Amino acid sequence: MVRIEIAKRTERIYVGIKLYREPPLEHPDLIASWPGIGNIGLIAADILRGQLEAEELGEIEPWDFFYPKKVRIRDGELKDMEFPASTFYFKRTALRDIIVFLGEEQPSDDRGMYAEGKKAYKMANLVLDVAEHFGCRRIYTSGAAVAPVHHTMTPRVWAVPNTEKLISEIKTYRNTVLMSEIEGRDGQGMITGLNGLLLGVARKRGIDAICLMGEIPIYLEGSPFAYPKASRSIINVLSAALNIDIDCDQTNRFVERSEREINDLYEKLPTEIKDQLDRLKHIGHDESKQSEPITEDDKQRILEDIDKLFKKGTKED
Amino acid sequence: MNKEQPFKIYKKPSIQNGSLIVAWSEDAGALGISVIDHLIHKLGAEEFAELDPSGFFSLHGVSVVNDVARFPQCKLYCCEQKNLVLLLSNPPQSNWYKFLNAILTIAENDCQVRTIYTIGGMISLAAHTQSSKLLATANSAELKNTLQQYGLTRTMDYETPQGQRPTLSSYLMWLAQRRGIAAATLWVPISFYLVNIEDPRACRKAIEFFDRILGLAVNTTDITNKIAVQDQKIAEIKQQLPEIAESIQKLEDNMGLDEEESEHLIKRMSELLRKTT
Repeated sequence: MVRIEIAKRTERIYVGIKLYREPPLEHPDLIASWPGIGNIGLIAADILRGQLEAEELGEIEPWDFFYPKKVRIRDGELKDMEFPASTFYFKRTALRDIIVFLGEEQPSDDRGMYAEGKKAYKMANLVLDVAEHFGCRRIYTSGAAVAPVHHTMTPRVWAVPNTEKLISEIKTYRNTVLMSEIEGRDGQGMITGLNGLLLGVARKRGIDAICLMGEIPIYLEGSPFAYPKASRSIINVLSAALNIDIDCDQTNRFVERSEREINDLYEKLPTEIKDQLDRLKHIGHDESKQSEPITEDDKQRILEDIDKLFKKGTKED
Repeated sequence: MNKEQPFKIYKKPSIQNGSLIVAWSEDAGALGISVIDHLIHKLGAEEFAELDPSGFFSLHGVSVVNDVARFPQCKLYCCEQKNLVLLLSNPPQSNWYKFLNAILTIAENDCQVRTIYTIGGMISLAAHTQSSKLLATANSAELKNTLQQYGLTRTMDYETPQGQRPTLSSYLMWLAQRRGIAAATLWVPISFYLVNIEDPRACRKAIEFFDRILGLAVNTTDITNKIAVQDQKIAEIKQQLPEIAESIQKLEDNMGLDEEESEHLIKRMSELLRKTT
């Protein structure tokens, strides 16, 4: 593969990006995702990439962002060093051109799970440099929304645009809610890590962007498992928004397998905790039934008990 | 010191075809510190450069270790007569690529270093009295062949297991490889129950290797004395605590210890040897 390094046009942009090719894309949409809770966003973007049979477009060089992930030594001699990948893919479809960006890790100064600080800002800008280079029309990021829902329910998608003008469009998406439509949120919230930061940096540059977050039950936020059910909800929104057909068979099988694993663990919970969590089935998305919400004390007790089964994770992304 | 080169260079050393020995503080058995300290002392090496820690280390406060406040440091020393450069550093907490490249730049451009050796302690399940071979990995076939002549175990295949990360030494070797600088990492076995303390035997083993390969003619009597003192202390501990004597005997007889025995051995040896140090 011939790698074409984009010329250094200005001090700020393009240093650190390698493009393998320059396809003639017409105002593509860019879907970007990094790992987060349940890897919901990353799985959604990766499934989309696979379904579209998107081809490699380029990469962000890892040196300034990541510590290597693997060394390969053969017969006492160092052969190779592997870094977390940050890769761009592209696909030209009949109706729309698409770029998918998958970040294998979030850059962080202290090897934490979520991006922060200068490195995160630099990474966000590099992704947007590529977006602008190809004249992107819109950016989508995807992640997780930790919510008081039950894993047997269909996860909704929380959508956050970076400009007011996108709100009316989002309201036409199925199974999607704005922050103002979520009980107790009053339109406020925080999107941690690059899935959120990219939205802000895009706003600064005047590029429209929407973050789509699939709901994950509060009791699964620290679990080591992926939660593809929420990824599927995001894919459904994206396929409608982008006007592309996605074959869901493979995703459905993934969801079924994950559901079985979660059910197995759920059955191992103490009855008292399970009874508490079962209440989420009746609260969930129906605000009229929220007369007996799970209290903070209940939530604390539930999470402590869940911790005995799952290793504790960090907060929302 | 400037934005590109974060080292403050006090004096440019006069070195030809030099070698650089890199050691990290916080190493198993205090190996890195003891090896570099010994070489500095015995060879009269002089400090000639120091890294500005900002940007590489968390400077939100200071850590306190063994009752004393510490501050991260990365210093370079040189011994011009031996064409030798020494580096002792805390492993950085961020910007590893920039950090390691800064070391390589100063080594290559200011010290004409041709070969880099990094050292690291490798946890061994054997007793401290048992002879164990040094292990080395190299970033070039040529250096690997050279190391073979010094009897280092070299037929090692390795891939970083899932969930772990390569060592900083491997990262340095890889970056050196990209610059065409020969580099090797010397892995020195440290008995698992001496990992939290000092292991003078491991230190002597490393020094002896550098002595041979670099022709340093460095005196190791001090370390031999330290070994004798530690052996005496361990003998006293074995006499006082039969279960410790039994565990070490088992290891010397190539019998494994169960988890409980191992943990007890590590805990008691750490406590008692640290107390008498």
